[in-house]
Amino acid sequence: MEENKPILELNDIWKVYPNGVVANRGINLKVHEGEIHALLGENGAGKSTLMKILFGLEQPTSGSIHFRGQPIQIHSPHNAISRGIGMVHQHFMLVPSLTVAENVVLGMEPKKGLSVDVEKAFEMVENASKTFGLPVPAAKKVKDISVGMRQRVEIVKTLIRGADLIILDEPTAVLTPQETVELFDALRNLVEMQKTVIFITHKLKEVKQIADRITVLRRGFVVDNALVKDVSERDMSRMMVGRDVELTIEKGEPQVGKELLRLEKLNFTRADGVQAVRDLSFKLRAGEILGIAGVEGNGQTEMVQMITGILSPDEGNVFLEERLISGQFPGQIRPLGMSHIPSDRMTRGCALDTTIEENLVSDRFTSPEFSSMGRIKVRQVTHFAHEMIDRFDIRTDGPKTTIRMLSGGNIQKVVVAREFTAGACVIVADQPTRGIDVAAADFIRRQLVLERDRGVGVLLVSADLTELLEASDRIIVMFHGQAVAHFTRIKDINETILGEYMLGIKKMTPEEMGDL
Amino acid sequence: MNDTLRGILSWEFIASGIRVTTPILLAAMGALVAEMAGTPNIALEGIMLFSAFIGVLISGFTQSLFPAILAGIATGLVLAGILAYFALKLKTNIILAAIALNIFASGGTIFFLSALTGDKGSSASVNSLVIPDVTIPLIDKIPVLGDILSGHHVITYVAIAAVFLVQFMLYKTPLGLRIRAVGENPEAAESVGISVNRTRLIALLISGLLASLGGLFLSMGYVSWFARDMTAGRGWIALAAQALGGTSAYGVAGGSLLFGFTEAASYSLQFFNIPYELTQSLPFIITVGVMALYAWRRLKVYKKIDVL
Amino acid sequence: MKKGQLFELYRTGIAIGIALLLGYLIVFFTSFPEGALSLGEKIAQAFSATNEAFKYFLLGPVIKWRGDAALFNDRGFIQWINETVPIMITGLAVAIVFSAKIFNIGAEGQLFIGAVGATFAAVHFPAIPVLHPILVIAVAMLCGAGWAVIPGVIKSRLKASELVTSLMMNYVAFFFGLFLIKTFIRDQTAGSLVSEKFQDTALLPLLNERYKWHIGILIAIGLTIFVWFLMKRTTWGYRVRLVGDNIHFAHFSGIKTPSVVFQAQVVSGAIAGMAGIIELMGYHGRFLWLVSPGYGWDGIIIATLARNNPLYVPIAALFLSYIRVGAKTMGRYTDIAPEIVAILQAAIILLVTAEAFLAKWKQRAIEKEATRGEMTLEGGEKA
Repeated sequence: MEENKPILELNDIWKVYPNGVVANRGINLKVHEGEIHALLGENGAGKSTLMKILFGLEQPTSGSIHFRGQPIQIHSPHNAISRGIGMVHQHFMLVPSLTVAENVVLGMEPKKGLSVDVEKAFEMVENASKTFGLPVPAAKKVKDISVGMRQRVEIVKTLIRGADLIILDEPTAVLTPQETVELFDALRNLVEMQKTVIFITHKLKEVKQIADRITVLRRGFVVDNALVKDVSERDMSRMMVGRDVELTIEKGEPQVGKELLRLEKLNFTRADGVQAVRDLSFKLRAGEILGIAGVEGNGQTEMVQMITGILSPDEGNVFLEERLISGQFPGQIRPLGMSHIPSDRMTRGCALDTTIEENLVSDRFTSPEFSSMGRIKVRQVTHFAHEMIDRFDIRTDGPKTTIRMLSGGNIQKVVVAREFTAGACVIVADQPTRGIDVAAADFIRRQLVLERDRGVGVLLVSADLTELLEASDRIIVMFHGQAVAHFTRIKDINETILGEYMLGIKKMTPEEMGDL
Repeated sequence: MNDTLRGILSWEFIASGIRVTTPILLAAMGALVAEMAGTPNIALEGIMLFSAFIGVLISGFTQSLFPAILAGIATGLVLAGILAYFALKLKTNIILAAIALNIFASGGTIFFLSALTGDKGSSASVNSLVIPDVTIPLIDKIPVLGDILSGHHVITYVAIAAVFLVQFMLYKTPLGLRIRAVGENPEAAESVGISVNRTRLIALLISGLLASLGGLFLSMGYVSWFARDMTAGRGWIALAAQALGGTSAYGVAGGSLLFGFTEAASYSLQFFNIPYELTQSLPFIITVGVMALYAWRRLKVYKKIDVL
Repeated sequence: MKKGQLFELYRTGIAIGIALLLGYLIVFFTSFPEGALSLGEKIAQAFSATNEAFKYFLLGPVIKWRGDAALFNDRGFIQWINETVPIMITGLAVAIVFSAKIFNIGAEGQLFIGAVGATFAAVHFPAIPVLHPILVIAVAMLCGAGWAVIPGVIKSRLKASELVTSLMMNYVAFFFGLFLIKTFIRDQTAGSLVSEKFQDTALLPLLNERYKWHIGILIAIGLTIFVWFLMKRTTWGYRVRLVGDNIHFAHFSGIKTPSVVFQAQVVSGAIAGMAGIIELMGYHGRFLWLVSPGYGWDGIIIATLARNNPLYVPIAALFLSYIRVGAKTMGRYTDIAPEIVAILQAAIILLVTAEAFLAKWKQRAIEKEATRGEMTLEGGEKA
């Protein structure tokens, strides 16, 4: 593969959102024609924002884009498509009840008089399939084909619209190994036709298999870029997972007590056929913080949902203080002593147009403290809210403020205030500090340690390795739905080591893992 | 008694059933198109009513059919356009916006009737015209079929044609493809550069047009005047017909026929001491039953949705 | 009062203002005189005609003119208050379901069937003073609640849309109700289709004999306080509001969401059920509707205007009723049809519910509030 001119150049791209979050910092990216370029980075590194900018879904705050040597502005997906940039999203943009052909030609339908020329559409799809080596069943409805096939339809959609640069967002997340092989063959094929591919991923093995060059993002800026042949998986892992911010949490030695939560051989297969959790077993004891490390999408979400009652496991059990809880509803599990800080705080964690005080008592308003004979004791609720506002440092005008008015960090503090005062013996904290300001994050971490010191068992699921290393007493690494590492001496490990297990480079044997 | 029975089962009854179904059918087609695009049009009742009014008004003033029909159709388009503007651009809840339009039509027609003609409540003084019936040559000579098929109002034939046109449009044309895409997965449509709002606007305009034809039929054919609230809930019945018929124009037509024929039959069935209220309410009861059935079946297919 | 609420008040005010202006313009243009006058004269005449009409419209309910004197219009005032009653009650009923984000528009059918059932009680139940009217109203509530069960079950158990089913139930209520009246309790001596007269004990006490000002307004106000208390101060109401705000969060917090959805509809049905019979007991003394009175639809307008807040419902109801009585007054003294008020109502609803209407200002108000309690580091760095 010769060194062609870069077909795409991003110069000093910055993206700052109105709420102050800086997603991209001075990104420089060069992609050459005919290459497969992998964009690596953890969640929150800024990859999706960058791709949104390339596809016209967002505008950069500053910086320039050059395509084929010309400076361009990409106003909308339509604009991007017309320039020859196509995108295959993680969540497919297909209409299930329409056929493959209809989905592919949507927006550019061949006509015969007043109607859609169905035969011509089939022909177009067949031709594209043949040209690009991506056979798809033109006449079948999208809802009746497999996930891998749907992705292929998405790719055909971009190619048929003249895409020369194709961006794939975590394409293998939903594919079986066989489908992944087929995808890679197809990509190699495309590249031989002088198409260019940008591939967003965090799967290092695949990068080694298919990519020519990589660019690594971390916390919004480019860490490095390199030719794949010049780097090893370990090198890539180190680039992705670095230590930037020094955070020290004051933490004494844990006083570990009895077993509180036990997972026994949990299994769960998602609706799209991918097995998210595989024979997962571990225990959580009183007085410890157990960190779960892993790149998002390796089963942590499903695991948390099975523990908290949102999902039922296909196989396996969850025990809370020896009581079987798997398969029950959240409403039944909570009173048994489990609190949950959900990763999607807006969807599940709070009611946005309700006041702070009402959000704080949502799980306890029937208790005698806050109600009697069906009547809410408003003064008690407000008093409690004031206490929480003080104790958890919630910045607000008062307990009767609508929670929507608060910043993300303060909303999370309200969630934390509620969950930490529920009298639970187990707290499941799922991405508790994601997307919130540094001070609030710091505060919440301290609260976690306080709870742990009081004898609560904390399950901390986080994509923030620094946080995990600082807060956890022990760490389990999840990869592809399984536990692949267990660390009990946190002082002896660092992000790089964690990264290797998180990215599947290494895997411990059951003996090495010991008693989970 | 036998005469009445024969009266009910006569070809005349079928012809009258078709006539009664006409406005419901047109509005139901409008309901279908709007629903498929993801923007249910609850304002069909109001659009029909206002178009009925405009038809009478314009034909009375101009003593000419063509301007009246044009104005009636324009009314449907304008009202649907207002609904689209508030629901799509200003983000009003589309149900509430439609209710507002219905209120506007109900009172506004009476107001403008009074302000422009002095009539209070019905267009007594307006010498409005009637759109004629059509006799299809040759067919009308066929013994039984002739009575059923020929001699109907122009708009009745338009309504029948509309069923086939709407089905064709939805399932065979590019516009129909886009409408269905926008209704099922607007993001997918956006991603290929289709303007979701524009497609929905077109769908609403079509539904407005169809409803306006139904209204014109009422005031310029079924009867030849305008009266307060003369649509008598047909716009709502059209929604029920669409709920019954689902996503196929033929199905919705079937639903419309059910309601239309029940109404036609309810008058005759009174002779059997079956109260007309019972017959009239039957289609509504059936609709509730059918919807419950659909929902129950759908629950069986999908995993339990525990939230709601 | 928070910025957000204040903004909503302004927006409602602006919407009403625009609607009134619209009404003024419509009356103005339809008051243009015919004939051979100059444009200036025509405009002047139209102006004076419109101003005259608006005088009656805006003041008619409370002022009557005798010669040159402007006196208090007791008849108009009482009519205003009486007409407020049924729509205030349906407004409360709809506010309950709308608070739960349930689009049950069955209030019309519930009040109709409630009135029908209660008519039987009013005519046939034992004539015990004080107890009789209470029982009559109780029967109405029961019928209304019962009528809400079917759409309620379909929504909470079968997860189907409540919009069409509740709509259908309205029609069935109307036909079935009329059938019952016609067949079992019709007054054969009367000219039109009306029920037999209610017994005297079933009638509501009057505050003013001459114009039949009945105590329905007191019942409605009491109901308002009750519904406010129910929604804002009880655990039941709290559940309903939480489900309406975020059903996932409610479920997550342990609330049995399908039950809440069902109960909200049934309670709403009970309240809507009594809206109609109270007017019949207070003013007419018998069942006399040949068409459905439309109070259910009014309830939807009022709940929307009141933003589902029970305390604002009386204000919205009084406002709506006022402009209707005003329009009728205007219709009596001028030849402007009172139905113009429908145009105003439509305009108000459209503007008030348009989220994007003046949305930029609201966004600014919210942002100001949000950035107050926040800590950001240099460069807006957030993890």
